[in-house]
Amino acid sequence: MSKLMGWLCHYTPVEILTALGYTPYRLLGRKGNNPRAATYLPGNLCPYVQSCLEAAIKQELPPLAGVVIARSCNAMIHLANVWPRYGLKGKILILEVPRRLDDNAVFYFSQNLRRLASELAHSGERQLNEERLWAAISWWEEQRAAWRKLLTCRAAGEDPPGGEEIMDGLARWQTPLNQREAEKWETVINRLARQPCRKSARRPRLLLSGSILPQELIAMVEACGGLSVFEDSCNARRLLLAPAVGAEGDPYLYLARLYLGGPPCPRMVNDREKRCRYWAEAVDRFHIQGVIYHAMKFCDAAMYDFLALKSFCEKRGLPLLRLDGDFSGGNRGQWQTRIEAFLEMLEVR
Amino acid sequence: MDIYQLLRSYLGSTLRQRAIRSPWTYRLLKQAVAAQKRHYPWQAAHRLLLNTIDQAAAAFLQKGPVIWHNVFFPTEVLYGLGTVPFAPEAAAVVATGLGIAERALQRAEGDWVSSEACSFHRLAHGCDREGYFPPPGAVVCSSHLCDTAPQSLAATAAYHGVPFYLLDVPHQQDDTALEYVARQLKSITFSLVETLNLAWDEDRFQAALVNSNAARERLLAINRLRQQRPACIRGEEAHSFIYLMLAGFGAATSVEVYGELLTELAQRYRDQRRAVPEEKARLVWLHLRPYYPNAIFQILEQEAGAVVVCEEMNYVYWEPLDPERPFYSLARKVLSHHGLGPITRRIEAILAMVDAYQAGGVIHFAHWGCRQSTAGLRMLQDALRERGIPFLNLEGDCVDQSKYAPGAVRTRLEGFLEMLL
Ligand code: SF4
Ligand code: SF4
Repeated sequence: MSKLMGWLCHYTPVEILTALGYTPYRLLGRKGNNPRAATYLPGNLCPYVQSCLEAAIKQELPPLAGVVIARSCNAMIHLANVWPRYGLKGKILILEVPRRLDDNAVFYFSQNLRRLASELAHSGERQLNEERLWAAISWWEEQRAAWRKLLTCRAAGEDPPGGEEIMDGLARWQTPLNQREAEKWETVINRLARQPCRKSARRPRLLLSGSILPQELIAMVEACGGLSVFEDSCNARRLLLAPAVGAEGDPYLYLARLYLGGPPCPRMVNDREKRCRYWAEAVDRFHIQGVIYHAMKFCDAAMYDFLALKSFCEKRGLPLLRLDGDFSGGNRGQWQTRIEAFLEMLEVR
Repeated sequence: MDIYQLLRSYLGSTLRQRAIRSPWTYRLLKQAVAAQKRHYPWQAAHRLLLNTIDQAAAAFLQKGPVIWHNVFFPTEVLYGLGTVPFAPEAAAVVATGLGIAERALQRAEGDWVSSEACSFHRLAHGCDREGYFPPPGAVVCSSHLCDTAPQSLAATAAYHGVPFYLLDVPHQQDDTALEYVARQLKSITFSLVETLNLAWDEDRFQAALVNSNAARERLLAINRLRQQRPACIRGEEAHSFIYLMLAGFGAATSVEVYGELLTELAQRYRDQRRAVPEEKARLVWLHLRPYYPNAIFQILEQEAGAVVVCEEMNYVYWEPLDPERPFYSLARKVLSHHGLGPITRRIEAILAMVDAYQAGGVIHFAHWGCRQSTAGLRMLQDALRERGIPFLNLEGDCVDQSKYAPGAVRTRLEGFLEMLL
């Protein structure tokens, strides 16, 4: 039986999956149109979610024991509705994720995590004991720390690893096909660290932001002559949670604080100020010269997140480019022209 | 004269924004509406209009702290605190009637509010930034069902520099969720008291819950009457009372309006005054309707005799509140919404409506941008098909008239009616 457990939203504590003997496998969508998903979900719903469903229907995913779907936004809520009926067979676990960060929310989330663990353990091989969970927490922290360290060298502006390579490494890190592969995370990071950088640090330094960033966008930005040095998205930088302060004796409370207290995503409406501080810190530390926002089509959170970023950039006098995307990889022509014009404008500044 | 014509005649001048802030506007408007009393087929609708004018006056003249809320937030809290609730989504409907929607939508577009977003919120954004809405003292919003509302209202709060309170509503209905929501409600209530310097009055707070229960009882009685054949109120007429579901629970005036409607409706059932001369079919209406002039109800009800006997938005989904335990019972109310949890809950609720109202068909108005309502349609459609119940998904926009295509709508409705009759 497969030990791979699928997950989507970055508020899914993978530590619990690991501790229960599963190998967490992130569903990152697919390229191309999603005609079959479109018969079950309306056309004006998040294309990332549609593409994950399409991949499941078309059996393009590796064999999964199940999938954890966090009800983190409307699109995910509806994915959770249709998945059992039209998606994959296997276990489907639904996780409720608060949209706020305070003691009440942390406590509530911790209870949901405890429930998730017991639901998973039911069909898994072992009941989850807390020691194992703490071990998994440390294991994941070790990995995230290594990633953070690697990505911090981009702040200094010397010989930075390119965004394209980083995104590729992060994608591989999120989608190991078995535990053996997952254990090799250090190899992925070391290879990236050793890779000679062929991209000049003098190129325009960019912050790329959005809900989830398509890898081909970063590749295109760099092919056009920009340098992506900070990818603010749930498939990149926002994965790299720093350890939660005020360590609790209870691992579920710890995880709840770790995830809810991490860099906020656009859905955390209550945390908009924190999100602005996050951008400010990135801009200052990473010497950002321009910002590109990828607005996922039909993502209500991203639509308004962009407005906040726009006002942030206006205040800081930072040039901002908005690109709309449907996650199909089909926006190339239009994107390219606009990216080139944007980079040209940055170069003459 | 229709109400919007009246309003336009007061507000249509260049003094528009100033007129909105003048007590004279409301005084004259009320007088004009009061004088038309006997022209209203339903006195309850007349009463509702007068109350709404009073409420608008209170908000625009800042007679108390104005609190903006989304339509799913339990307004009992706001009435219980003695504040002036203001629902921008509902006000967007009025803006549509006043003919300022186009300009407001343009403003939203100019401010980069994406046209993919729900037009209720785009419109509210435009109206607010153009100065047509009363500025808020605070903004409260619940997260359930809709992703746009919290985003849009948080942006508005930031724009006005006022506090924003999010009521985070999970999809589970268990005790942990109940505790989570109840605690938030309590904390939001007392934060409002503190930041707006309100006087906490427990009796007033409990009275809002008592009012809510009384309104609920009356609405249940109205719904029970509407389950009888033949229908004595057209769906188009009943639709205007949805406003109370979205913004009126907790207010004594809502009890009055429902009470009046109940009395009138009961009388019509006793007299067998039919809604349409020949009732040929009975329908359940899901989500909202377009608020600009359109022929939908004319085609269905007047031309074809297919009466809308039940609106999803008028469905009473919660148990009575306990005024002694206000936060828990409001939390329970919020969590009871049939749109929360797995889609099967909404489907079950809709099938129950079909049975209770002896409906032969279901129409869903798919408001562009409303992902919460439209995203689960496939499974609903499957469930209705299994039961042999004709279903029409009518696509359109509730407030953006430019999206209305009369010819196409007629064709779709006629196709549906053919299947139904
Ligand atoms: S991109 Fe937006 S709509 Fe899609 S899953 Fe993420 S938050 Fe939800
Ligand atoms: S119509 Fe839908 S999207 Fe718009 S405010 Fe209402 S629930 Fe939200």
